[in-house]
Amino acid sequence: MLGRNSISFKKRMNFVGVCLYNILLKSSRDRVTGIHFFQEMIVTLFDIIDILDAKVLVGRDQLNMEVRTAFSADLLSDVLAFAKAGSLLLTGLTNPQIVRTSSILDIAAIVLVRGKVAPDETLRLADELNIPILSTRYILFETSGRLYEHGIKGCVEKVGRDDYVSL
Amino acid sequence: MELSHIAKDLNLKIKCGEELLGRDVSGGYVGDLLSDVMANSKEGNLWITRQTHQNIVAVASLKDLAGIVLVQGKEPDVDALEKASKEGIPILVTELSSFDVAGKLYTLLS
Amino acid sequence: MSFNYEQSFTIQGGNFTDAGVVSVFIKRTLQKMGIPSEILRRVAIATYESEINIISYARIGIIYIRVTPENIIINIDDEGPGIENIELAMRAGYSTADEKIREMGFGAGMGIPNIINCSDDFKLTSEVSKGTHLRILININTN
Repeated sequence: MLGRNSISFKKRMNFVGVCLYNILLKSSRDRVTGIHFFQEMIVTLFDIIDILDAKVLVGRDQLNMEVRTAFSADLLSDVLAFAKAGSLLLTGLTNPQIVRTSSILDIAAIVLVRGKVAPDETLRLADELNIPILSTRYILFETSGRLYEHGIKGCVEKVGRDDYVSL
Repeated sequence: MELSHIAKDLNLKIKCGEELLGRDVSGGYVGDLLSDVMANSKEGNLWITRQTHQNIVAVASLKDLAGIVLVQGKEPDVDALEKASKEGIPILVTELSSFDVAGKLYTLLS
Repeated sequence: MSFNYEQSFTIQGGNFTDAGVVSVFIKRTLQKMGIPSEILRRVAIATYESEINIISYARIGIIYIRVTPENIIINIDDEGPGIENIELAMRAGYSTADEKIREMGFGAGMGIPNIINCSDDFKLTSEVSKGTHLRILININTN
């Protein structure tokens, strides 16, 4: 139903390999030893391309970037209110504002869902502001689910004061 | 999977439609734009959204969705709640983000 | 550290293509000055939401920013329809946005509440069919 079998065994093993490779890389770099590095899985945009069977629209040179958190939304004001710096933005929107919002918040990269292709002005702006954009055929639900399964965490970081109660 | 099981597992708070939790959930759908949900959600999906106004009930009802989960501590508007009770659409709420609810539901359904 | 900077920006209503240009510029400028990232984030969000508000509702608007060693003051003045019910506009979830603004990802009634959450002091005044004035103060915590 959810198309989970579409990631082949080979791809899965490949992913495990990439993760182990990353863990080893990190351990040698940070001199982290023992259990510690198993608690924090490092996922790069390369891994995400694999997990989501995604295409790279912008930022081919930044695929080594590591991400730990993600935010799924179609409302940019929510992204502005809650998304943490360094997160992935998963969205069905494609207008240039997704890039400007990401730039304002230091969002690491954008993943467009449902096979969306962004208009040229969005791609140009992303290129200019250095924000990678990937595109996956999966719906936002499955995109979130697949990343969650691979250790990406959600993020809700309220900025500033918080006196406001929703209606 | 039964909605009641999901509600329990994800610790969702039931705002209305408690008597309808025996419904089967076919999958999840995350979306905050009503036109998108109208076009792309599937019958029996549990809809995860931050929208709280009464139009969400019409969408859920037209698309035969299993129910609606409001995220990030959002509460349904009063008229949304009334309409949902009348039209038989369960509304559940959580403090979690859409990403986390989707992640947990996806894992649960796999 | 001592920060001293001031600048004004004019924003045309209805120009959705350039929405955010000014805020991204302000953010970059303050970043280069060495403003702490938590403060930077709040300034960027407040100016961006204000910019979106001008573009969505007003004919024209001016964003003025002044940075001193102690604080950041942002004044936003626009000529436009104004806000009929300020109390409602300040509540989360209330919006008068049309479908175009909503499909762009805004207009969920979060703009002004987001600005307030980012401010240490906030003042909103408006005159119907004249315009809206917004004053935002953000303290720079140097310790």
